[in-house]
Amino acid sequence: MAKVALVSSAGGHLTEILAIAQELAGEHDLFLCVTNYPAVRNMKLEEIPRIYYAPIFWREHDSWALLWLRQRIGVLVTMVLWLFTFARLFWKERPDFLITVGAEIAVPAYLVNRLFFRRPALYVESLARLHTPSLTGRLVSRLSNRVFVQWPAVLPYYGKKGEYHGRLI
Amino acid sequence: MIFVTVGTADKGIDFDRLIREMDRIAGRLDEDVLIQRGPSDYEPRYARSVRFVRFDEALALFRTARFVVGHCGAGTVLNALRYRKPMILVPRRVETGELDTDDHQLQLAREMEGMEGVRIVHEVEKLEEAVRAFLSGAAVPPKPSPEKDRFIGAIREFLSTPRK
Repeated sequence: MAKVALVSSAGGHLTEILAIAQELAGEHDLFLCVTNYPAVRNMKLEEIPRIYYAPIFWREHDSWALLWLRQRIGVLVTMVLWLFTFARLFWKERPDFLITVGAEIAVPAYLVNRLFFRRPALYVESLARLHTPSLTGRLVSRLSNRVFVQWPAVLPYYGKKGEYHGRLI
Repeated sequence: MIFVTVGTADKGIDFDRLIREMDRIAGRLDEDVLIQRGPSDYEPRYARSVRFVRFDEALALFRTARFVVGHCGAGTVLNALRYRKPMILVPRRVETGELDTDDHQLQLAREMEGMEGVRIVHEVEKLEEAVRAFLSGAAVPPKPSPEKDRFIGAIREFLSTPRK
C-alpha cells in the first residue's frame, strides 16, 4: 500500500480525481489536497477521508479594485504562497506518489515535489480536453514523470511523455 | 426526482436554453424537478431550483435522482456515471455564447452518442420527448466502459512502480 497525494482544484477536476479515487480506495492510502473554495469547504467524501485545504488568499466578496489587482498579480503571489503550503504538507505527509488532473494548485504542488521530494508524479489530462492540451497540462507535464491523456488526439502535444490508456468514461 | 444541472465551471456562463425548457417541461410533469441553475438570472416557475450547491451536496443529488438532465460537461457525466444514473445531455455551444473556449461539449457528446443509458439532445425542442421516454422506462443505468478499466489499470501500474 502506497501513500498517494491527490492534488486538485475545486469543480470538474475534483470530479475526475474522485472517479480515480473511487477505484483506488482500500488499495492505497489516499489523501486529497484541494483549493479551499466555499463549494468544497468541510466536505465529507467516502473515498478520501483525509482532506487538506490550500488556502485562498482573497475573500469571496472583495471589491472590484481588489479583484482587478488579484487578476494581475494575485495569481503569482498565491502561487508563491502555495509553494510553502505544499512544502509543509509534503514534509509532514511524505507521499510516495502524486496524481493530479489540474488545475491551478497542481503547479506549485508539482514544483515543490520536483525541487525537494522527487516522488513519481503523474499528470492526467482532463476528460474535457479532446483535441488540445490545457494550460495546466503544458506547465505541469514538465514537472511530471508521466502524462496520461484521455483522448488519443491530444497525444502529439506531449511528445514522448504522453501515454494513452483509455479514459474515465 | 429529476436532477438538472448546468455545471459549476465554464467561468460562470449561464445555460438558459436548457433551464427555461426544463422549467416549462417541469410544469407538465408529475415528477419532481430540481434545477441547479448556476449564474442564470432566469427564475424557474414550475421546478424547484438552487443557484449552486456544495460539491458534496451535488453528489447527494446525483445519488438520489431518478435520472439526470444536464449540459455535456465532463463533471456532470462522471458524477452521473458514479451513481449509474441514466442521463440526457444537452451540449453547450460556443456559437450561442454558452461556452467561451472551444466546442468541447459537442466533441464529448459526439463520443458519447450511442452509449447505454445516455441520450444526447442537441435541440431543446426535442427535450420533452426524451424526458418522457426516460420517465416511461427507456432509461437504463449506464455501464462502466472497458476504456475505464484500462485507464484505472494503467494508474494501478503507475502506483506499483518500485520506490527508488
